[in-house]
Amino acid sequence: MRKEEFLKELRYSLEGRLPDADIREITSDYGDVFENASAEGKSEQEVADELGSPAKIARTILEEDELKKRETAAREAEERARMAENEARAARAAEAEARAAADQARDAFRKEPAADARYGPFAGRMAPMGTRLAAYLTDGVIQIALLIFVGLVILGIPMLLSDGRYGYWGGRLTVYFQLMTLLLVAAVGCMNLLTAVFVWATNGYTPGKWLFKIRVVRLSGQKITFMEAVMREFLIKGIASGMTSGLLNLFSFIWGCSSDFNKTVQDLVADTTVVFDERRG
Amino acid sequence: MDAQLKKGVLEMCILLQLRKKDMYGYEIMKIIQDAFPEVYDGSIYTILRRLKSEAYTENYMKDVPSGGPQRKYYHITPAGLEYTARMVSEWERLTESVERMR
Repeated sequence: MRKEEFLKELRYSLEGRLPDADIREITSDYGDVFENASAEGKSEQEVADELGSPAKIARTILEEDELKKRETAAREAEERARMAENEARAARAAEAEARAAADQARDAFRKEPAADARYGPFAGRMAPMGTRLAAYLTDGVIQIALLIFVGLVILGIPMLLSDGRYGYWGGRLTVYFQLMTLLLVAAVGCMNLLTAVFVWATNGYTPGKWLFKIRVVRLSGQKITFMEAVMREFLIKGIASGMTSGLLNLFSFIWGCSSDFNKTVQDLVADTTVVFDERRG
Repeated sequence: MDAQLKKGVLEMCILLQLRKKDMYGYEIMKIIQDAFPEVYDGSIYTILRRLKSEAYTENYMKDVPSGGPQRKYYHITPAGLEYTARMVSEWERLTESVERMR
């Protein structure tokens, strides 16, 4: 086999299976072998015999190449797997962190419910003490007007019927007046009880509060019970304040100006406060 | 001789030669052929190719003193030196083990 034949066969065996640049380099390398050997006086045939079959050389080269490719592919796959694992680990860590943060937030919330969580529905909607005072005074005026009206009816009608004279009723009328006066006094005391009933029945309104669009609410958000209404309106604002000549109500008003959620004494007792009525506000 | 063993040994011997001085392909081939006449089969360039692709050697072209086409020289890289040292120590351990077996 001569040099050209050898190189051609080598090239054919490699063609299409290696990059052209590699094939050129390989054939050039083996061409050099022929050059160098012939410089030493060897014939091309001798060199070709020593080198062995070009097909065998090509096969060795290709095997080597294939091995190298496989090694590279394996290394790359390993690298990819490692990267994927790292990513997955990072994702898991982030997830765990997020979960821990959520747990922590929940625990903190459970341990120490924020004031806003409890009073949240009403926070920021407190009725100013001025409005409450106005409603209170309005209620007072309405109560007095009501009492005068009732008093006129109870005491005035018999007077009108008697035509300015006692005539027929005689001494019995005097007893009637005394009785009715007593009843009227009792009615004054009962006014606050009436207010309590009103607050309970309307779930938080008094006539004055209705006018000023504010209402009493329980801080827990539930409906005011009858007993709470009685405590708030009758026992505290009526009896207790009456016994202290109104001083308790005065103190309550001042106290409410600075306490949390504008809680007055009656609010503390019934766990209530007064807010703007969002449905009518 | 086992193909893998032969390849490994030839690879080490080529690197050991290149550690001494830069050489061109045919020169390397002759030395190996002289040292291992019975194993030589002409695939020396596949080993040189592999060494280069692993970056254990690098090539450069150099003029022939007597004229004619340039020759491709092989030069060992630092990575090649390190690899050679590793192979030699492995080889020594191997032969020691084999010696103890005798």
